[in-house]
Amino acid sequence: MIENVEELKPAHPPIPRIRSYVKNLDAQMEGGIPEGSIVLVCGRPGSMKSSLTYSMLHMQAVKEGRRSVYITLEQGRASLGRHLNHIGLQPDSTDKVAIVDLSALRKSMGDKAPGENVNWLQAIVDQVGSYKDLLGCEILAMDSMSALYSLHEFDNPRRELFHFFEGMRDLGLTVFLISEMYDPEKDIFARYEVEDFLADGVIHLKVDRSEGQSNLYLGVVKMRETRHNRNYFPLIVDPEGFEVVTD
Amino acid sequence: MPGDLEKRIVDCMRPLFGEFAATAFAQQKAKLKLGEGAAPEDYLPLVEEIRTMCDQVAGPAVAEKIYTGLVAIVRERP
Repeated sequence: MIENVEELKPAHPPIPRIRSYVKNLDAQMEGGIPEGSIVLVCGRPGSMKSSLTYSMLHMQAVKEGRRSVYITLEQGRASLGRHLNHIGLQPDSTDKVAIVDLSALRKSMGDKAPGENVNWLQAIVDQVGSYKDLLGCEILAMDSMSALYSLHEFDNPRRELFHFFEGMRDLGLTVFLISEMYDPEKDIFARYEVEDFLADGVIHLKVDRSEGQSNLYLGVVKMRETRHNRNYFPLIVDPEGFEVVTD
Repeated sequence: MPGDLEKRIVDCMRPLFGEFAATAFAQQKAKLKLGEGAAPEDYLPLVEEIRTMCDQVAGPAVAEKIYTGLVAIVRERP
């Protein structure tokens, strides 16, 4: 006979998590990314940031029926679709991931068309809020932060990015922000070097181009509310999907 | 009436187009040469153009959602 039900409850209820469906990765971070987190997906050009991020959204749709939005600010919808098809992800196979191509609007209307003093960081937060209502999405990916920065004129990056991250957080979505890294010598995860402090998680994709070979590695640099492995694991992609090699 | 109708069309576009909604509407309106005296039915070709734009931006599922809303606005009688 149980005298006190309270005794059976764990000290802290389990945190709901979003599985990455990258084979072997979720086991390295207590089952996945805490829901509602803002995660930077960082890497140099060619490190498969967009593909990996889209893959997580796609697998969430296919396996768990979660709706998401993938906003592309630079690469066109058709071009992205062709690339995803080429690596075995078929965006047309699910209607639960909406790829929103803001680059098409930028192209046909010009970046300055809506007005001279648009606060693009706030506009994107508002826009994402609209997508949440319109499409009922739980996950957002934005590709890329660099493209967003090219639209927004910063006066005080640290302060403005703080409000951008807080605005995103208030929407209650799990957010992936794709961030391009440029310095080949240093691990600077985003342009203003404050984004990784503001984010809840940082996933780093590293390309090792040595001895005539190009190998890809994935490391979870930071994940709040999570005991995670800090090693960098070889990342492979095949028709079955993404996989990190942990043994 | 056209002013009110146009405002409602732009409001319906805003969830997808955001800051670009008014500009996108004005661009399509100019392309179809819709003037001051246009009747609500005259806006139907414009709605078709907006549907095509929505499809290019976010695919057919989202385009259909916006299109249904726009058609309802244009066909609504005062």
